[in-house]
Amino acid sequence: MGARPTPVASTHSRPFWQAAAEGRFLVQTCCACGAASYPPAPRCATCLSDDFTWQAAPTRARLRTWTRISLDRLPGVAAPFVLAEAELDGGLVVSAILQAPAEAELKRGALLALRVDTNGAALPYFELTPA
Amino acid sequence: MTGAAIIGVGSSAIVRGSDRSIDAFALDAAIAAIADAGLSREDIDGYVGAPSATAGDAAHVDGGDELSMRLMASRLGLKQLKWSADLFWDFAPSMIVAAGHALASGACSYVLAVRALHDLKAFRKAPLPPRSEAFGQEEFEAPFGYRIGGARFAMRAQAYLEAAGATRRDLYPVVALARENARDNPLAVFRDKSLSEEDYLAAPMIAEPFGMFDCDMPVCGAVAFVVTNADRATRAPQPAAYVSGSANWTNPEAIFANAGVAREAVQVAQLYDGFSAMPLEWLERLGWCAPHTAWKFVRDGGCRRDGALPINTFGGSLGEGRLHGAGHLREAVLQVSGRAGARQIKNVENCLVQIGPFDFASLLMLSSEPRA
Repeated sequence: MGARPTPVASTHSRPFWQAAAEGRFLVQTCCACGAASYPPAPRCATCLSDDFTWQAAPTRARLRTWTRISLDRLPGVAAPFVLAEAELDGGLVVSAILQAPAEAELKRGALLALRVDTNGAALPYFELTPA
Repeated sequence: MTGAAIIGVGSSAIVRGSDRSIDAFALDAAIAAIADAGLSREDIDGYVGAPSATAGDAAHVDGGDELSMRLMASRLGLKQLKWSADLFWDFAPSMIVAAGHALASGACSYVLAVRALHDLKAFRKAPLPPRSEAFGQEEFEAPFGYRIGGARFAMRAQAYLEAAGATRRDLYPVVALARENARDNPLAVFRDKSLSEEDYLAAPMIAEPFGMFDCDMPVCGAVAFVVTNADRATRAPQPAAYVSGSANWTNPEAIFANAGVAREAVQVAQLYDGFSAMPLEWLERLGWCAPHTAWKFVRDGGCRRDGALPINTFGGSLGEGRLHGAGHLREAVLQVSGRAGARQIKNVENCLVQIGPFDFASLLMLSSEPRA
């Protein structure tokens, strides 16, 4: 079924993918104003500085919304699968695949854990945190 | 009277798959629009397109699933263009805005505006191969399926339904309304196809809460417009649709102030419905409904042709096919110029057109009289 599309890093996203390859999710953080950017950007959209530091993201997140995708169009991922949008502790919003059993009831506010897959494509994903 | 006016409109056939190429459809629409305006192609001295293919699996090939001004000028034999532009990743209403600016500058007199769509999957009889790499804006989207089946809009719709205390079943009235209005639109791919709630709910899921009928049908088709200034419009053979004002996604609520038209003075609206939940959001955002109530407004008939605010009187994208707002713009022209036939709403002075999703939209107000 093929492999997930491979991200081609640019100068401003390379630190993210290098850390992801080691299983870590780093957040691009502006040295001038402290704003976080995700996905990474050439300049901070808040103050336009290009001086960044990279900080480890909180792994705890709350589900904001989700969709279960039934089309079999993502190489490397069998449909149906769940795409989730979640808010990390501290407020950063990240969209990634949520690894959840088909029967799982998904509700806004559900507690998730942010992980990075080090077995395959070094991509971030969410999993449900048992209540 | 320096404002812009649409004096001609033309459509190709709208079909679900075709061996004809995108420029063939565009030529059909352009020739019809020029004739509708009572002009010949020698009169056309301006051109504007919105050529981008927007499907997640688009190939972005000129003459394949996109149509450049260069190709169109060549195909149509336009040899005397004084102004031309292709609007990158923009929507049909923006073509009229750009044409109006060019006309107001005196750069040209008659602008042809063309929007064409083509379904390459149907043309190739096979899906397009997925890209194995993700770069640019796809870098953090494609590996997660962010745009498969409108997934990012499905997530937004899911959040809306949960916050509104509604369910997927409550999207059915939007789809049913589209089918109802499509009945009187000879161009619509779903013109003779009503849809029961049972069949709606039983359709294959695409991206929850969207099933197959919550997503507009990919089609091959084109719509073209002829735009001139309000002075010349009075000499046109058909009643004109006059541009009162415009706005975009950065401040869509400004459409009423920009146009000098109060919300209450809008009799009809054409709201983008590439996915069924989208018009609900815009009914609320533009102030017709309180937050999280538009689904009830549509359910209770508020948007039917005899309702308080008729929307998508031609069937919308859900009833007509995925022309990415070109059909909405065509219907707005026909409604304000009194040419909508069986679909005509009485006494239309102003029709609002909104095309695009929450984070990238183009809005236009068309009126039956030029703005004073």
